[in-house]
Amino acid sequence: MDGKYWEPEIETMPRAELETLQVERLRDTVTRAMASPFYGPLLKEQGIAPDTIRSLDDLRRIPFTTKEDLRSHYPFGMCAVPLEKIVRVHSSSGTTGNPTVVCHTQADLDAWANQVARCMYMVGLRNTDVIQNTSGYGMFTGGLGIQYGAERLGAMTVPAAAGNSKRQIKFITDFGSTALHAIPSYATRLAAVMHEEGIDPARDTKLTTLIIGAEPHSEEQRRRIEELLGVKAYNCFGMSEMNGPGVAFECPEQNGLHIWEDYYIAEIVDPVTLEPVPDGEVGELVLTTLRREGMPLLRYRTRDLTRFLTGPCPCGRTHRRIDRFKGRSDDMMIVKGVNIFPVQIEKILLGFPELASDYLITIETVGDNDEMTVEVELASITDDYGRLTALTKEITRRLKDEILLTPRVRLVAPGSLPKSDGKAVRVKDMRKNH
Amino acid sequence: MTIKQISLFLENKFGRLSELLAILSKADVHIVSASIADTSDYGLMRLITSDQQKAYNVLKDNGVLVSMNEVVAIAIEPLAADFARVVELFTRRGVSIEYMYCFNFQKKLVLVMRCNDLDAVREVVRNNSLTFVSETDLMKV
Repeated sequence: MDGKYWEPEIETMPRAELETLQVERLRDTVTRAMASPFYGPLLKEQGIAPDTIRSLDDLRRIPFTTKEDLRSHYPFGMCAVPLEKIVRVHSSSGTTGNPTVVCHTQADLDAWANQVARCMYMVGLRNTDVIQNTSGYGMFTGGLGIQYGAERLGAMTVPAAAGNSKRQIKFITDFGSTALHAIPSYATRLAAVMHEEGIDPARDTKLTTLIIGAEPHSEEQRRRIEELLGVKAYNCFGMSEMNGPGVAFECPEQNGLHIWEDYYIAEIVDPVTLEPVPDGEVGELVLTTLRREGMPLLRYRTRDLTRFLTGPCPCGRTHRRIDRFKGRSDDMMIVKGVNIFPVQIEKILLGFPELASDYLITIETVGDNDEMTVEVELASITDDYGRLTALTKEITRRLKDEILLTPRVRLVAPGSLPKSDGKAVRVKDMRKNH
Repeated sequence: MTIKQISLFLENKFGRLSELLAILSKADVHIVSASIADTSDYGLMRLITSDQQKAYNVLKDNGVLVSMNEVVAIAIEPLAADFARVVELFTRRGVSIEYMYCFNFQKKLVLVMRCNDLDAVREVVRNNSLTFVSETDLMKV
């Protein structure tokens, strides 16, 4: 295969045809969803059935689905097929409260691999490329998602997984990796280590392409990564609820991410009124799956804030573009590509009787890395110094088990943390573009 | 045989120690001993004054995180040999010393020790006629 498009007919489908396809697939999705313990009763109650879906406007009669719905139907309450049809589960982290689970059938995994391959092909990657994945594997969808997509593309895959920069660099130079998948802060880190080792990425490696995602980053950060590594870096958007990476992706124009409208119906709504915003205005992205069998999702509130970039794209693709993400409409933080909710940290801290109830999470960029510091007020003290050190260690350990990141923990005196208008300030994000 | 020691949480913030000492001066007590064990983030200050209850109350009322506990206070001649003898007696009796420090008091050296087994300490003190310092002694300062 060689041409500009992985799937030319779909990628350049005229809008009217694309929307007809969406309505058809929405009807199928509603049919499938009715078999799930969560959607079945909900759709019946709302009087929604496949034959009541005649146009995209009928989508608005379907209630929204939230992360809370997924949590409260843990583990398989959102599943629309018999469990023996499920071949993979992806679960979010969290030992406190319920994680969110996504169930995939074989067809779901095949469709996901296809969408990722489509994204990679779009930015010029081919079966002659060598694609190295520095994402964590296991439950992280950035691992297996990119893996299967790259294999579908036919490229040589290097499933390096996260960390061990020296080893990553050895793979890059020995295997001739041409593309990397990494979070933006790790890309900068790798460039720094290469520099320390006297390796000039442009001259000494075959890297041409970077796929960056999982955390918000600015245009400046992207340009910097491109300069440091001598590559083109493309923004990848995804979330586990919508499979993983590959939901939306930049084309060679690097001006907005095409969201695949044969896979999803995308809406942008006001996070407070939940009404659609005028085209081109910022709001919360709401997604409906069109191909998922195992766990179809209808009008899922992503809590990510963005807008449609109106107008045609020079690349010829008719799937609309969304802008770089502007933030969240909830309090979720993303640090080193990992999603963290303050409530997870709060629950762990509440398990320590030595601590008072006030804490402050500070996130800042130190050098190339984002660091999280958790300051927590002590409730009581003893004369035992070792006890304080052990306490700090234990808090750090339990937090790390919960949020998958090692924060810096600092014990502080009661009443010393800042309050704003009498309300406790819980998170201070000092990073640029936050 | 034991005296009260105040432990307090001292944040590693510029001016915090001055604030604390200002609070203490309001209590109008004599400082018998003060030490700060520290990390980069905070310090644990151990304090012995001429009136521990008074000092504790004024610190607590001013929002300082404090606690009070019992420590052993043995008075010896300020000679290395006497110091060594006390530690030897404790070791032989199996008393573990978690931490220690000293201060001068009326020409004697007072060894302050946090010990795990106060009954054993009482035994050592009695059987060896060791001298100890009491709260009342300190108040006379």
